[in-house]
Amino acid sequence: MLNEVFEKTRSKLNKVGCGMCLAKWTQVTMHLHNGMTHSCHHPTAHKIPLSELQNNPSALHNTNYKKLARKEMLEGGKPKECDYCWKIEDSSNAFSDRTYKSSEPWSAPHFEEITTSSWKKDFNPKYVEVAFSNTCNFKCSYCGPMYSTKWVEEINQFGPYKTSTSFNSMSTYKERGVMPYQVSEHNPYVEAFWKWWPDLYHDLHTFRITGGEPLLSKDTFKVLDYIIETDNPNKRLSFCINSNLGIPESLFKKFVEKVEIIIDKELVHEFIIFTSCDAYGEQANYIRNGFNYNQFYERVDFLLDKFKPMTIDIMSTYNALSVPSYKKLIEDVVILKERHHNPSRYWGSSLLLDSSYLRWPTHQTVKILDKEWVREIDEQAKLVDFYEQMRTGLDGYGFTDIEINKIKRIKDWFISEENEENLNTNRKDFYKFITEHDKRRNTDFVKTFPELEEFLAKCRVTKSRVS
Amino acid sequence: MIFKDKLAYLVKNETRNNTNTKKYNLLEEDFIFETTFKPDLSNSENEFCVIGRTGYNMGIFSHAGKSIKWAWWKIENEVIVYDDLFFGSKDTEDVDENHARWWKEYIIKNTPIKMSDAAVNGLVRRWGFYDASQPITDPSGNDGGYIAIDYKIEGIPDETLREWVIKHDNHRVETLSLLPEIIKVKVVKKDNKFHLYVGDIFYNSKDCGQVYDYSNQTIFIGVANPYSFNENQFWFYGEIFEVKIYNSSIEKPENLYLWFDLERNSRFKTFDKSGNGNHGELYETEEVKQEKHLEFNKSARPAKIV
Repeated sequence: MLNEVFEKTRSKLNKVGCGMCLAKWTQVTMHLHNGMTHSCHHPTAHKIPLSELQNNPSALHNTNYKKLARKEMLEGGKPKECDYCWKIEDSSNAFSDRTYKSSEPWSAPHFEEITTSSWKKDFNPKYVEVAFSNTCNFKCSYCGPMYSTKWVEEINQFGPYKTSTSFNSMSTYKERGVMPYQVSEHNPYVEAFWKWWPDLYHDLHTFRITGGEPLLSKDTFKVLDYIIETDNPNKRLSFCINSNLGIPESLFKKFVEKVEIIIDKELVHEFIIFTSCDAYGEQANYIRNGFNYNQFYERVDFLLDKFKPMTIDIMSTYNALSVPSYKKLIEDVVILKERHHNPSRYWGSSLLLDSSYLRWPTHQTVKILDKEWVREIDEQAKLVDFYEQMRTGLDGYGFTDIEINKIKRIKDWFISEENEENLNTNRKDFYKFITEHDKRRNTDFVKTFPELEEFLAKCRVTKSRVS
Repeated sequence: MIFKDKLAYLVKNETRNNTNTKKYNLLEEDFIFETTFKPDLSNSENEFCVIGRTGYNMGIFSHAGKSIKWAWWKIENEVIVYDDLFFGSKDTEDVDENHARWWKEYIIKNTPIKMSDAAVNGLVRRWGFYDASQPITDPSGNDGGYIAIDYKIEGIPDETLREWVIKHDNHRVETLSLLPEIIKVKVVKKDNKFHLYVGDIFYNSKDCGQVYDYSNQTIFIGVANPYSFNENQFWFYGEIFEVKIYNSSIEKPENLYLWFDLERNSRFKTFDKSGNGNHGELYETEEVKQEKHLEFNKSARPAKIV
């Protein structure tokens, strides 16, 4: 059934051009903290020229650069920046993301309007992700200065990590002119956003605020207040916020108060919180510096209890340090899924564990681990399958097929071949990163991850043998 | 776990998300089916199935908890025919050597104190063949022979032994069963023979013949086949303590295909302790499922499962 929909969409797109993709118009991610934008996450983000914003705040999305790509699409071309999809299409008959994204409810209804308009015309996107600031109270091990001010502080104090990749060096950001604005600085991109917002808001299907930590940004609260105060709320809006849920209590309370008004008055179609947790207990705290597992668990529990329709999605960045304790996280998620299952949830489930494997930095991916760990990952896939949601219903809580398959996919990726040279380099880097991490942050890897003590020693040996 | 109201678990060849690492093809050669259970004799249908495979049923069955059989179908002269390995003395049966030997081993293995041969034989006749006409000796044997106690077990002088015998005897009288209260059954397929063990004591063997092709037949716990017509469903009532299947005739942990203690259960499954991900999936009748759906849908938003 779905395949028929995708086939129909692909056929329609191809009649316009073999590179046609509606997401170039309908979707945008705006990194306002450094003035970058891209439509769809596959093309690299490009800089928004300030000159274009002067008379047209929608240039946060409708840059001349992007308009030229749209022109190319409408005229049958295939923009080079979208090569992720071209590679898929050239090597198989599989649907690429241009088909999937063009089939989305925030894309498909706009086909006629887009294909019959001039490429020069501005278009209000329907799926918008925005980061107002990189302010964050965490410095997760795999994150960096672009998305965390805590990381900026650390790199300014100690410099980049001395891995083969100079992990989290800020010099390239400076060279490319993409250093994030500081909170105290005037940010013309944020200013443009607020000029555009009243016009943009009513056209939105999905609006998602990312960061940094969005709840540390005054602009996030400004959005919440706007939704509460406007006379004409967009009740079709799917409103999403990413949050680490580790903000100070006073801010958390303030956030809860706003959400309560929005949900009680049904000012949006759905309110989804995306949060993150990659392991259980102290191990989770180590991976995401600043994180407090117990507080996180209590707040998720609290939010799901207070807001009966809310769905919370845990975006788990599954990395080498997730493996030893992930089963305990799964068990904890099951408890909350069961406790908060009700017929009113926006997405059927109260809580989702969305496990995606970390690709970067390569020194912390699961692939660096010894292959013996496959058994543990395999057991995790079997455990979520044990808690499978097989039916909806009063007692139909559990893990969905997607949640299960994403862990299965991690196992498949883990056992796929890895170049030995890369593996050795990554292990050396892992050792360098961890030892430096413990020094800088006063942490104790071996105490926190006794299961990986031998592995760390092995990485050290790898280091001395090769270097 | 208590099985009642048509409760059952099934084990598929492949879980929906294909997370299980051992599949049916591993059960095509030698295997072991093993289970420990306690039938609810007041609620059991005439015949029930504890564990089996669908199609032409193969599995561990019991006649109202009074006897045990391993049943299967085989192909003879291009015809599918029934066969079984039966525990218990059939109506027409005289003294059966295997049956007598099994009871003797059972008594020797379980008796709280050593008994003389004559005493054992007396209990074998009494429990294995409903024959209470044989005397039971003084287990101490101090009298150098047996003391006739009018064949009444109440007269057994040793208190520990007396209590043990009375307990067994009461169970036999109350249930008219040849079997102990809690029954452990193991069937080993090896060298093209089925070998039946009850209470970890070998009972009998039989040639398998050319066994019907069960390679695609679902494994069920607590029923033979819920999709069949009523007479052939054979629902189990009572308690199942453990189920083990090995994909070999050798009982080693690495040969386990599945292992349920039926204590760790999610809403829809019972946990497979073998590590192979062959969790038992709860079977509910269509009526039960429909009832639950309707209840939920009265107040539910349309589900959006991501």
